[in-house]
Amino acid sequence: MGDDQVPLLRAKGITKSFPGVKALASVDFEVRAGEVHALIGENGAGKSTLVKVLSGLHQPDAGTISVDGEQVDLQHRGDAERHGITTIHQELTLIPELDVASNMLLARPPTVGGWRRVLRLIDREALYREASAALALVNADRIDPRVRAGSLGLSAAQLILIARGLSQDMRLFILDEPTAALTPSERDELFARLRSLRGRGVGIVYVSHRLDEVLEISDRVTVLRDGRVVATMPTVEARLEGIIELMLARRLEEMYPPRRTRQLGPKVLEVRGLRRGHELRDIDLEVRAGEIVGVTGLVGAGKTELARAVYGADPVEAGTVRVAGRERMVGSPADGIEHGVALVPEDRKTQGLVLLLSVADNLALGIVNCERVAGTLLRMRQVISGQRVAEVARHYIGRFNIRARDPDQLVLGLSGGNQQKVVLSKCLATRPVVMILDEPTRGVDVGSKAELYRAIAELADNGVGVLVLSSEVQEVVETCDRIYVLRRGRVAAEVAGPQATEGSLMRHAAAEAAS
Amino acid sequence: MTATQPSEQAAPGGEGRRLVVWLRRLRQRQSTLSTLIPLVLLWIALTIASPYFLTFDNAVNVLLNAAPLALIAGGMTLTLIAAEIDLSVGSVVALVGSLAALLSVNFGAPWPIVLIGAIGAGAVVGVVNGWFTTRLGMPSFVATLAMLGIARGVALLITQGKPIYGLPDTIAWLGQGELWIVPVPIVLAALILAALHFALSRTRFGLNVYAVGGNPEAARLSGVDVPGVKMAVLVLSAVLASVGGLILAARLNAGSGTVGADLLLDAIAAVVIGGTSLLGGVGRITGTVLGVLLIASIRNGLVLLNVSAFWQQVAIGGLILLAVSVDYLAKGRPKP
Repeated sequence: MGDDQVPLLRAKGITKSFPGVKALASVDFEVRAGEVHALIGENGAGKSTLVKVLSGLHQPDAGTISVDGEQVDLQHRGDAERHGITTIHQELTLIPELDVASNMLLARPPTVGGWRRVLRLIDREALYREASAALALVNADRIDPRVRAGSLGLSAAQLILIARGLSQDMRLFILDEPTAALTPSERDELFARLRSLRGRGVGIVYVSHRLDEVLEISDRVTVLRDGRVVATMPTVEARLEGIIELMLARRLEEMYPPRRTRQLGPKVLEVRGLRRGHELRDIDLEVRAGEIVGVTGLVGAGKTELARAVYGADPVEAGTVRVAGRERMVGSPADGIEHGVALVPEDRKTQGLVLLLSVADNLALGIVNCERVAGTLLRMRQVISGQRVAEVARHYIGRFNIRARDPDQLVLGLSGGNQQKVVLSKCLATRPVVMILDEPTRGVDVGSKAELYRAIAELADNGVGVLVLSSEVQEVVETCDRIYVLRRGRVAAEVAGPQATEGSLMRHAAAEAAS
Repeated sequence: MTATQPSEQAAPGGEGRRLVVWLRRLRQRQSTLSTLIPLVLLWIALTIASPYFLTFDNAVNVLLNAAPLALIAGGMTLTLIAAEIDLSVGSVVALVGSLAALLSVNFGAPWPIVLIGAIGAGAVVGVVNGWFTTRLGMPSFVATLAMLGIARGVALLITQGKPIYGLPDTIAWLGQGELWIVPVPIVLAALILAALHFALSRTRFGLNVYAVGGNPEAARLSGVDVPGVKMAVLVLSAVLASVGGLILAARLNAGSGTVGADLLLDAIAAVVIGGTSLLGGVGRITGTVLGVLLIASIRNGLVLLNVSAFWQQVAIGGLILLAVSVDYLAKGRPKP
């Protein structure tokens, strides 16, 4: 492909403001036929706004969009699809109770011909035939068009959406964080499909937080920062560190706090023989005061199950959990909290926060329901001192640099990184002796990540035992003093942090394939 | 990095939308004020239309009529914030009034026994509602719908379908007595609503109610006893309906199995007009009080103006649509 050819899509001078925020400032962006163009940037850099503009969900305040050199006006999603642009969102849009074929051809199902045409009856046979043909286009013949869409996994659902796009002659696919919930092998499969789409002359916009994937799959990279394009370059010329610097205007070494040896105290968490079905099989682990212990493993290895079981969120079949030497009842979060265990859960939006409450109220919620510390906010055991809550909130807003206007702002309006800092603050406010963090940096921008790592190190400095469960191996290697690798619900290896490498951990995590 | 408000993102710009966006902000940030404005406008209009409206006697009359509704709507506010609903309140009103009349008139029970028995019966209804909702995991809509029928039926059975007249003075005092110059029902409703407002805005229980309605899983992981909170709001709702039932019976000087059917929908209307979300997690007692006053004022005003009672229904329905559509308009219509 030469530079002289008319690009499939060209956006020029796209500007978009929301009350109080300029989300996009004169952004130029183009996609050629047969290329994968990665779009990266921190949370809030404007990626999702640009995607929404390109897919017709938002109308730009200024700027033009052309498809094949002709200016188009995208008023809603239908307009974008008529011009061959389709967007596959992070949350997939299949109707779980309908079968695969109906989902694919929902918009225009084949109808029975002849006199029955007036009834607009759906021609079931043609429906399944067309669906199978479309699935074959993405080499997904193994998906049966007659099964319920809800019974399929996320990667199959993605394929279905891609196949649907192809069958409708879509020429530009926008994929928003497509690998966020895929296993490594599913991801490789997706990449193979994307490469074959590229060979077919389709243009792909690839939006992702995962820079290693971006380097692997894309032909060109556009970096956004604060609503502006800071660079567009061929991927072959890009380096990981260079991209991060562009995104952040900050150097990579600053991301992880320097490793240091801390004075380890007594065991604060001791887990023995924790078991539940196939998810947790006789897990033993321990954490000392002042120690940062990592747990990693592939998706499905049991990390989240372990975090929740130790905290008491889910019941277990057998095993004991001792906190600071005292055995605690498992299966009750309230009991875990009283013993000094705190959990930053996997999904802050559905498990960590009440989005419709303010920053201050979310913090208060954690404190007043922990009898050990409730007295700091409560009078007569029930009445909350609003003044004390505001003080506590302001303290954490300052300490973690949470970007909230004031303690009364709803957490709904905060970015992912800032929401995560609120969850962390809420846990810290209960003065835990053991802090469990499940995927603490998932969906968090790089700047907030660095702040979270620093906060975790500080916790350990203050003598808290920290358990970090993460599928980002690099994060575990860089931040943890000791690392457990889980494989299919068992502890497969225990490695000292300084000796660990990403490669060795990955080998432990996926060892069964080799043995 | 920007902290963009998704709700603000969702409202596309444009001249015509400015008013709508402004109204929505008003409702979000000062939901009380946005209900207060129509209420004051209504009062001004009614004062101009009827010389009798703005008199002390009529104001007392409005409040007196509103008292049972206010109690029930107060309970409904908590229930809805906790993302549950109690459809049995109107039937509990009838059951409790009937039971009080039966105990005192037919059995000659002393008034403390009557009070305890009647409110206790209401509380039992609440516990049953709560048991099916929290232990069995049945939607409270279904459990309380069943109880709506059962409590109403029991009320009609024990009164044999006819009102039981002649409550003793001690019970009648609840509806007809006065403290200084203020009727007892108004004092009772005001005290209880003030207590509810305090509980909701300033106590651990109140915060937990919001948390359970807003995100039950996050509440559980924060150490909140989620079933306990749900049980508490459903029992509270039934007890408040019981007090409302006693007041109503005392004012009518009779226990009847047929009263209170319209209170359920009026209570939901008042709560929704007051800015409480049917989806849980959002709402205020102050908004509900204004919603109750709005409904009571419309009823009263239309009576003063000699407008057919049927128009009251239309007016209240219209009010609901008006109040709630502001919220939805401003969120932006769903895109095709």
